[in-house]
Amino acid sequence: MKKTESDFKNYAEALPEKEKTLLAEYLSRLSQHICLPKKQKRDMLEDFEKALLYYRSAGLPLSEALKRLDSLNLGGFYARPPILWCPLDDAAKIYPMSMKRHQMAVFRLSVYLKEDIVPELLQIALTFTIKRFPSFAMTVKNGFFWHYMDAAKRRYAVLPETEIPCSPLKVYASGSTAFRVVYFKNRISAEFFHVLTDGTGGMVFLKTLAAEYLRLRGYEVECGSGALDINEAPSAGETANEFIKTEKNERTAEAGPEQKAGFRDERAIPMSGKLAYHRPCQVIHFELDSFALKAAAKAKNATVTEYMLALMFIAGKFATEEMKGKIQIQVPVNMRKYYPSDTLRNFTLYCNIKIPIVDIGNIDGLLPEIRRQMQAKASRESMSEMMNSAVRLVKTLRLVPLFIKRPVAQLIYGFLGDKVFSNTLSNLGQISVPPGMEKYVEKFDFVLGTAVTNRAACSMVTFGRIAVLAVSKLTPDPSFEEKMYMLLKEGGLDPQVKGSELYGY
Amino acid sequence: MDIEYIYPQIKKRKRFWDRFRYVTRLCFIGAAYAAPIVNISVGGRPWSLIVLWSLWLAWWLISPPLVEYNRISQTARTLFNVCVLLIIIDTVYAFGWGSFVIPIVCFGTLVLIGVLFLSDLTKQRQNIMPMVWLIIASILGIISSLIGWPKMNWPMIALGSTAFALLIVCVGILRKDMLTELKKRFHIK
Repeated sequence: MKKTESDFKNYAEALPEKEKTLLAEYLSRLSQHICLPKKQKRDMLEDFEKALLYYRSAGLPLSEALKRLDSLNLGGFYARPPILWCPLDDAAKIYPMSMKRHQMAVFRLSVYLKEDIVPELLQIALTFTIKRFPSFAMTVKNGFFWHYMDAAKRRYAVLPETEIPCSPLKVYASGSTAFRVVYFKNRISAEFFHVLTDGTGGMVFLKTLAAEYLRLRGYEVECGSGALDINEAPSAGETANEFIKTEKNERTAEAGPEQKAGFRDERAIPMSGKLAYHRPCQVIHFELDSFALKAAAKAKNATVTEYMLALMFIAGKFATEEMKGKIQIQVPVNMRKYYPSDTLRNFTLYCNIKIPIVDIGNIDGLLPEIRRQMQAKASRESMSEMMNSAVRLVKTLRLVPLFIKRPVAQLIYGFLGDKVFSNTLSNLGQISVPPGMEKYVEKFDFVLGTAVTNRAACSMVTFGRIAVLAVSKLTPDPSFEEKMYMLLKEGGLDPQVKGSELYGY
Repeated sequence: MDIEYIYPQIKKRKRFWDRFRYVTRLCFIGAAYAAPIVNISVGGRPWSLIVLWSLWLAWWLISPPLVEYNRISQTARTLFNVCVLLIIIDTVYAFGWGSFVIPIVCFGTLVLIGVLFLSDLTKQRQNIMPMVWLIIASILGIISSLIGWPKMNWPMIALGSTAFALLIVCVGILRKDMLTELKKRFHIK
């Protein structure tokens, strides 16, 4: 008999008669909500037993514990067979086609609470939360023409963090998941395969999970500000493929040459440095005072993204040995700001900010050009044009069998897609949390997985007074982050540097 | 620049299998180039085709797919590769046993896949497509045999009837889900 099982048995037997009945009724109701294969059902019931044992050790009365772990929170999710399926959205179609054994488009969002995580309660929080996100409870499958997502009803487990951040997910097995939730000390991290969602959708999931976890801890946390009510039915809009929104009526014939965004582009200068075997080989976080950062950007009449881009161009020049060509930084653009949407699936495109390496000097010299390019390339017209290109491409290829598309996609993504960028800056902006939650949250962070040959990928997120710029590295060469550190220092931002060890070459 | 570590000590990915795959791939690519060159140089039957497909089969076994790697799909794909190999061997050396041996191999695999499917219905009902392909191929095989090529023999009859029986069982068990599965697999959205 397992330890939890025997502990729980002893606990149940020691209860007074009235509570014994209460517990038996609860377990029976719980069991009715879970129609999973035998082992998974047993594991899930054990999760609840562990949570009850935790509450007992915390001195919580059984009635209150049962209220928090109410089986109503499971809804019918685990009691119904998996029948949902959905085609991939237009942005997601490339990811399963281009993935390789150790290379997968994974990103990671983390929330740091002010106290250490209780794994037993985080597990229950995930068990309750996933039902609100049916489009996340899915696995990738091969179709004849395209991949698709197929429902995967199972116990979704939280795990202690033991792997490199953004490690590839094992999506090949029956019922496998395309995301993972891990914890370490006071941090809850959710890592997503990009087929499921983008940063915005992932953040909604993480906030909902964290809010539910805090409720299980006994704190009063409301819903809102991007944290969903787990007992509300998911809406159709949350799983919509929004890329078809501009298809018919918003052709951009009047767009200028810079606004005509497409997927073809010129080759960018790559950062130098030996490519590491481990992906990423290191993750570095620069923690900044968000108020000071905003003030520094404002002093230069720039936005935070533009300011950080300027620093990245300078650091990028420092990190390469090439003397000719352009440094090109990919900047993802959240399409929801142009086309309001509730979708939790991908609805992000990107623009490419380019500066010839010979023109890269100081911040003041770079900012006007960056601002000009951002205004032109991240405009609604330009993004709509790109969205049209994506939709047209998908339409053109729709009748080409997958076994032909896949090798071509791998070639294009590996040799062309990655070569047109030197770096990436994805800024999720200021994160808000539901009322009552801020006092338990210290900060958020956002880490991008590395691409094929790009030596660094930068991502940023701000919560309250803390802005975190994360750099995922694909080379042990420290030139880029060291220059970034110096530039941030020179800008009076005094970053705190945190991160991982160097995982290897 | 001092870094405060906020990530745990990690379990590093073992490199053995990656290195093994890398070295094997180099050897295979070398052999794939060498075999046709030697074959053309020395003349004779195109045995290099057998080498090439065998290399592909061996490579495929040590490098499993990244999407949908389950027992039904693996068995069906292995069968497909083995059948192609048998056809090549039979054609290159003109043995003439292909029309007899291949239906036996297919029949055996179809039975195995049927057992795999029926023994774990809950999980495998989302993985039926490779089995459906195999059933369709087998039924087409027997229809073709009825027309006259390849010649009708008892393994072909066994294969056709097993495929037909399995199709009826699948339709009986899955009913509407079978159509949904086809809709999923052939969607163009």
